[in-house]
This record gives sequence, C-alpha cells and structure tokens, in this order.
Amino acid sequence: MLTSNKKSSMEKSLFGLDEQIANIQKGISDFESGKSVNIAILAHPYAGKSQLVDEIIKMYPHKVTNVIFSSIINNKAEIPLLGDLNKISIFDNCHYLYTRSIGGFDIIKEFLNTVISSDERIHITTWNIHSWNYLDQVLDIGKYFPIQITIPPLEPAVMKKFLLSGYKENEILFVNDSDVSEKKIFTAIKKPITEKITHRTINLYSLRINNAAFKALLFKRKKDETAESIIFEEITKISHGNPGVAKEIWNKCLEYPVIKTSSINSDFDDIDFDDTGRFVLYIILSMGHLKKEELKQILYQSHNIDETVINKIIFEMFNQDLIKKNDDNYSIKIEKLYDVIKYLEKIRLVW
Amino acid sequence: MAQLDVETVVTNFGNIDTSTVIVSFAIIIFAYILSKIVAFLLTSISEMTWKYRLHLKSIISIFRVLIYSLAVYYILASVFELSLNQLVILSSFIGAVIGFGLRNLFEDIAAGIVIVMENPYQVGDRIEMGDYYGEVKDIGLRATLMITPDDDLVSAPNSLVFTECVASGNSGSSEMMATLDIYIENDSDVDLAMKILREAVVTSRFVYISPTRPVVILLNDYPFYKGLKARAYVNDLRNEFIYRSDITQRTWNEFYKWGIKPPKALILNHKSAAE
Repeated sequence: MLTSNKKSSMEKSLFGLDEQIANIQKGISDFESGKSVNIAILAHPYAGKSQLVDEIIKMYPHKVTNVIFSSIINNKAEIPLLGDLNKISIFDNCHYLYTRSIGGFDIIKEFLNTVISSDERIHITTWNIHSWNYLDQVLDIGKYFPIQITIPPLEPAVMKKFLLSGYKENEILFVNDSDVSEKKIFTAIKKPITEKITHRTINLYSLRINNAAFKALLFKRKKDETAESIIFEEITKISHGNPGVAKEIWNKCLEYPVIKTSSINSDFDDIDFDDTGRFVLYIILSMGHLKKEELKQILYQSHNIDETVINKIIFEMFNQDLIKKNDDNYSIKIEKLYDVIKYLEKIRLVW
Repeated sequence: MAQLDVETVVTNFGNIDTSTVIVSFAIIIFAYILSKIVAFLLTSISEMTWKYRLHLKSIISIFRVLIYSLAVYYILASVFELSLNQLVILSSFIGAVIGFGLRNLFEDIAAGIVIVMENPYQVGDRIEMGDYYGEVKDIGLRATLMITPDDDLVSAPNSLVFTECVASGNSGSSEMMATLDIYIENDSDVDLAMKILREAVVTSRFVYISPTRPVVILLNDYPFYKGLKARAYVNDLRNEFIYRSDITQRTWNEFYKWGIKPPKALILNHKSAAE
C-alpha cells in the first residue's frame, strides 16, 4: 500500500475521459459546497483507471491524499482512514479490501461504514469492475457511492490518437496486405479422391471461406478504405476499446515502422477448465493481480482447495497461455483479457 | 365423392408393391437420421451459447415432430399418391383403429405434442414428475427421458402430464433456486451462524445473484434446535447437488471453528429417544 501527496512526475495525456473528469470535478465542487459525496470509478483492468487518478491528483495537488492498495488487506489498521487525510481521499484498487471467502467481507464493511460516516472529506474510490459487480449484488455497494463513473471504451478515432501519441507524424507506415479483391466469400473446392475398391474417382466438395472478403462484408468495409482506418478499427474491436489491451496488440503487430492489416488477428482460443479452475481464473480476473499466497488464503481457508490443486490449476493456466507472472504476482495476460471475460460470462461466473 | 375417395384409397393400398414399401422405409430412416442430426447440432450449439442453452434445446422436440410429420405426409402424399381428402379419410380410419388397439401409445404421442406446444417443461429443466425427480434430457414423441440425481436414466411416459402434477425447478432458465437446511444447537450464536451461512452462499463458486435472484437466509426456531434455511440460485441447474455439498461442507467447517455444533442426535430424533 502506498500513500502519496505528491504530484505525479510523469506527464500523461488522457484520452476519451473528458466527460468522466467533468463528473468528478462536479462531484468535488458539490462536496465543497457542503454536499456529502462519494465517488466510485469502475474499470476493466488496463482501461486507464490509474491515468484518471493521476489526473485528479494533478488537478488538486494540495488537497489530495492518494492511498493505493496493491495487495489484499487483511487488517483494518492498514487503512489510514483515521489518519491525517486531506479533503479529497483517493483509495485506489479498493477491490483488495475483500476476498471471496467466508469472513472476507469484514474489512470492506468497516471501510464502507467509515466512508459514509465521514462528512469531512470526499472519498474517491477505484474498483475492478468485476469485483464491483459482484459486491454490488452481495453488499449493495452502489448505495455507498452516489456517483459511479465507468471508464468507457475508446472509439477508433480516439484510439488512433492514443496509439500514435508516442510517434511523429507519418512515422508509422500502414500497409493493407489483405486480399479483398476476390468478392466471393464462399468458394466450393473440388477434391478428387480415388475410391480404393473400384478405383473410381469421386469428387469431394468443401467450402473455403475468404476471411478478408467476409470481414469486409461484416464491417461494411469499402474498397477504398485506407489501411490506417482498417487497422485502428480492427484494434479497437479486438481490444474492446480498452487502451491497455490495444497498446499490447499494437506493440505485438508493429514491425517498426510498418504495421500490416494481416497481422491483426482476433483468433479466440478455447478455454477449458473444471469448476475449480474457472473459479481461480475468476478470482485472478476480479482482483487484477494476486500472489500465490493470497490465492491460497482465499482458496484453501474458505473453499478447501489445497495447494497441490492450486499449483495444478496455475500450471494449466500457463499451458493455455492465459496468465503471466510478474514479481510473484499472477494476472491475466493483457491480450487474453476479453477471451477470459467472455468465457467467464458464458459460464456465469462474471455477472 | 367420399365414396370415390375411399375406393381410391383402397385401390392405392392394393397397389402397394415392394418398391413402395422400401421407399417408405427409406423415408422413415432418413427422417430418423435427420432428426438425430438436428438434435446433435442444436445440442452442440446450445452448449456453446450458455445463455440460450435451454431455449435452443427446447426447439429440438419441435423439429422432431415437424420432421416425422413431414415424413409421414410425404409417404402418404407422394409414395401412395393420396389427395388431401383421401389423407383425411385415411387418418380418420387409422385413428379409429389405433384408438382401440394402441390407445396408450397414441395418448403418449398426443401428450408429447402437448408438451412441445404448451412447454410445461423443456429439455434441460429440472422437474419432478410422478415419483421421479431429475433433469430432462430429451422429450421424445412417446416418453420424456430424465437423469435422476443418482444418474439413472428414467423414461417417463408423456401421458403423465395429463394425470400427474409436474413441478419444474427452473422453467426454462439456466439458473434455479436451491434451498438448503442446516440445523444447529439451540444455544448457538445464531447471528454468527446466519452470517457464516450467508457468506458461504454468496462466496460459493456455483451461486448466481442478481436483483431478481437474491440470497435469503431464514431462521426457524424449533423446540430442541434451530434451523437455518438458505435460499439462493445456483448458476447452472446441473450444479445443484455439488452446490449443496459445497455450502454444507464450507459452512460446517466454519461452524466448528466458532464452536457452533449440530443438535444432538437424540434430540433431533426425539420421538425415538422418548421410546
């Protein structure tokens, strides 16, 4: 957990969050005029929650106390609620205040009680959207935060500005190397096979799908559409407008200084786990990142899932290329984020 | 006119030769294979789209009725070359004959059509029909196949819908309510027990909660013990039993940590204790 009153040293530009910033400013001005206000900022992982928090700190440099939770909080004494806080208290990653286990809601209940009891300061909290949705059903958490701001997906035009923000004009070369000249989407392919007993030739037919033409029809793409436009639309679609995911896709596809339309693919890999594996995947998704000890704390103490099973599941997740490990923390791989969400939505673990 | 139609029907049946019989059989076999393929495809697609799983499965029975009806119509109209009037006459005749001879079979088939039309239950529902409880695997023209919790495959005649009450636990939804009772000693800390049970339910990996699917914990006071009832929705009705087991195990593990105990066996079974 980190506490900071300092202005962020890195100058970051915000993309597509003007409306959200205006709502936060309005909330703060309402608070200053005597209204009791608490704000919840909800976002998918990598959607730009931290940038928004940095922007608030920049706007009110001497009024903000920023508390960042970076691991599960097990003791309420770790939350500096009663300390010498400024008028604007930002609590980043509040989903670390609960665990999906028996007894795992005591700290968050305490936190929420303090948040609504204090009129002296405005509480701005940030949450992983999956944890928020779960807590909203379980604890009716939305009632504690009258202003809820969801970070929206970026539109292709904004995504283009965001992705090109680190480059000079015309530095990147966009190439359309997909074959859309062939108009037919389905082509029947004849494959002659010699039958073994009578040695007669039989024709077997199969259908070939022209992916480029299919996509062009699906997205109503014009023939004269530029490579640049195709690339940014594809990246926005695959990343669901999430800037973190889009940046990862961009970095993977870019063969500096060239980026080709053919390199941007959205192949969905099948994810397959048993009930326990799915649950572990959900826990990692809803927390953002977790240490193995924290996973054990949730899974063993309350769900009777022992360490050997946890190890096996983590091994399977690495095998299916779904998670990564950074500084002992496990998290969903950026480019697999929406595959995992889609999978967990399908089996109703993400509500 | 009717006299002429009957004569034509009789003449046509008199002209049935081996090839007509073979073609008719071939059409029936084709209809059977087609209905199996359609059922297989719809089942596969339904498993991919979790949300609409039961809706897609419910169409299977409709397709089956349609395919068999078309096959019979095709045999009579094209193979036996009967007109619409003749078909009606033949149907009445067959109806009269089988009404006496195969009454039960056709009662089941009629009930099968009623099930498809009225949807008292669908494929995938968890139902209680007669003495049986289980998940509906298939609604055939004659019988409904159910898988019981003990993994027995039960074939219940469709006509039971006319004579028995049918209770459907989920009526077309993927989720279904599962209630669970837990009994504790009379002097237990009831508030703590209810908190633990609630947290066991809401943290279960099988639970589904929404504004219309809430979790409710109820307390019942009995003379010698207290009863807790948890009402919540399991995310997939197929997980009903594993959900119950999960909640029971985790709740009791936590109860023991906090000194909450089950009622003594003699008290629970107080009649036999008195004896």
